Amino acid sequence: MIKGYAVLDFVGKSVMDSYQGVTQFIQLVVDSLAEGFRPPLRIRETVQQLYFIAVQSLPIILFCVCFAAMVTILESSFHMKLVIQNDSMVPGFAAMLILRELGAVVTALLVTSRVGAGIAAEVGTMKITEQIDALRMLGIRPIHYIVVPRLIASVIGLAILTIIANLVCLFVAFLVSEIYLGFTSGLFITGLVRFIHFQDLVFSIIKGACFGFVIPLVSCHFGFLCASGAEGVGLATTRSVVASSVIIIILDFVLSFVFSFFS
Amino acid sequence: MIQFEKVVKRFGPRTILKELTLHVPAGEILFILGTSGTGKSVLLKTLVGLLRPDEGEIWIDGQEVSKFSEIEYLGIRKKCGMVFQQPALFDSLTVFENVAFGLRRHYRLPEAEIVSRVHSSLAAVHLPDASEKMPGEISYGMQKRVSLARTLALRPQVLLFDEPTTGLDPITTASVNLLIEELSRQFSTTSIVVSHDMTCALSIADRIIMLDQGRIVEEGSPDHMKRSQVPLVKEFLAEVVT
Amino acid sequence: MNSLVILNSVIDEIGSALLFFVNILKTLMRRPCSRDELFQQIWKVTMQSLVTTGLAGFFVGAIMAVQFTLQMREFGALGYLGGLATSATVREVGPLLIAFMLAGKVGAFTSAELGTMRVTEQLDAIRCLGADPLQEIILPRFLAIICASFFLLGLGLVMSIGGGILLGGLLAQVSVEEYLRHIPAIVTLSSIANGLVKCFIFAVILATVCTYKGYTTTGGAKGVGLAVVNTAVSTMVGIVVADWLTSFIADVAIRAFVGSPF
Repeated sequence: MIKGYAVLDFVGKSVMDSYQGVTQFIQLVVDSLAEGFRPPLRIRETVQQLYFIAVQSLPIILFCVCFAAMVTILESSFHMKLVIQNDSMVPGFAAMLILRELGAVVTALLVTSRVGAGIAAEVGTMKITEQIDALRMLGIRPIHYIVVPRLIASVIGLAILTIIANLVCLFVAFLVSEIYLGFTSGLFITGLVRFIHFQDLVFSIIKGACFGFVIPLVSCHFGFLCASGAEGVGLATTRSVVASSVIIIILDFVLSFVFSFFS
Repeated sequence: MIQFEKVVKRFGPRTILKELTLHVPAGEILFILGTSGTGKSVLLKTLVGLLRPDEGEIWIDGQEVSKFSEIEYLGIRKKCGMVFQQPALFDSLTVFENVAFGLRRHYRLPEAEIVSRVHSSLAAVHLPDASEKMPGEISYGMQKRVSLARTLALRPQVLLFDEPTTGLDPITTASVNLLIEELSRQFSTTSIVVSHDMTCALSIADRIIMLDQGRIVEEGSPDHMKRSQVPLVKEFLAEVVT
Repeated sequence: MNSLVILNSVIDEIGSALLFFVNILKTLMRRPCSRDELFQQIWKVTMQSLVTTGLAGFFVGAIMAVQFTLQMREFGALGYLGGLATSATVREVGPLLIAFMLAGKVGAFTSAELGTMRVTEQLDAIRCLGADPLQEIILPRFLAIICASFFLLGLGLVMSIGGGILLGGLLAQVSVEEYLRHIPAIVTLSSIANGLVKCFIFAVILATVCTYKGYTTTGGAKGVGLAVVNTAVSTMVGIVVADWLTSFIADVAIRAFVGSPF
């Protein structure tokens, strides 16, 4: 009996907590959008953030995406041979997978773990060292000062990163299929032309921008809620990485589902 | 100048401030003493709207502010300067830019005016040469003083100190306390200092308030406090270095 | 010059992480940790990540179904949808994504926890009390992450099949029986072995990196934040590289012994 109550209590509390968290998050999203259109536009800060988010993440993203592309093409070849006893379609399929899913998602997950975690740690540290209170005392709106530049930079940055990642990924896939799997470049390009349309690239960029919208907001949300002490910062960082990753995967599914009706 | 009327502040099930009523006339140096966790910092943060009270009224300069929106509060915060428990300097900016931060955003001042104000603020806290350093490169006591200079640069009418000497060594503590008195008299501000340092309170306060579990248990001039029969005050007095 | 310095420090990091790994193995051989502590950690890690991996698995299955539907439609081979999506998940996407999720969740949490213990001098306190932090604190967490990742992989796979069935029905009108029928034929034992090996390797990388980063944290609250960021990033890079290596080695081995990858 008592155990039943305890379970009920636990469930009720978690539901209430997550409800509160979600409403606070929505409030943050609304506020950031409102603040985003308020002058002054802090261009220098935004460019600095763009450098941190996009330029500094580029090497690591390219590195990972190259390996991911190689694996994708090897695995596609394996599956194609298994099902239709013929792997002539492999380049086209691999390219399609890369463009539709891999490029955007892998980029976004890597950015989450690097930039998202970084933002959460930074904002959390600002919160526990009372820098955010100090901002408010000096009459600065923290959302305008902290969230907006990161948000704008991240949306632009991820859109660009996604394009670059996709192109590099395709190029690596091309190299692997030619050198290791023995396709001629003509075959590869025929496959590309047959399976890939320009809209796939557009969808991919839209995906990247959406992920770029989510990452800084989630990180700032958990940063603002950060509890004091070393433990608080670590926890805020962890939570923001997990929440962003899950949201990215769910969002990816929703977008893929919606886009599947356009192709 | 500042009035609290029956202010109540709760965090979940815990009530931190219990119908607190408090009047601070202009120009006074008021010390609020109490053990850790009795709501001293909360009291300061409710005053400037960083936290909102659940009940009661707060008057600053003849305005009831507890229902103000964040934007309306900006005007109040220009009047009130707060020095935080931690230095809370922005780590990405130099000392100079930290002090100039509020000036640049609130007043359209010519650069020369900003420079002279920053330098006079830094001189007031006896740090004339630190302006090009980063916060990480100077000692904790210096960071504390820069944070005070950042607050002074806006020429506030009210100065709020949240445990200004916690975690400092005795020598720096003495110099910070001296600064508080000096600056309050020099700029003739109303000052509220939250602290647990009875020694310092007795030497520079005009009036002292003893807070315990969200209520005022004793208040009066330093001389009055010395003769107080309230147990908590006596305990604090026992710590005083004579 | 600058890139040389970076390269040097990266090699340095990898080297010390490997040494740390060897130390953990040595501790494991000589002084195993208490069984209670180990089970407690496994329980903690599993429960912490249950919802996350379940959710991620479900949606990954759904995404795979959407993508394979689009591809298989070209050939009129929608019947193979279930087999293909499941095979891809078992061999590749499942282990990879579970590892990514665990890197964000367990890896970050463990390094934050150990980092906090380090900066608040708890690890030194353990040493002063005459105990070995490697044995008492690190080893149970290290083993727990490896054990738990197998449970979570299983859960993730089940959820992803669920997600695939749902979307296969919704988008391609493939019934549940149809979806499940081809799974045994396409998902061979070697595929399952492939997935398990990958899962194990990723878990070892994750466990090593997060305990190493947490154990060597310096510099207060900021340092803990930094350790968490570094853990997530280095784990992901390590996992992607290991993924390629295992796929490549498997492919080469199959070609060498069987002739063609069947």
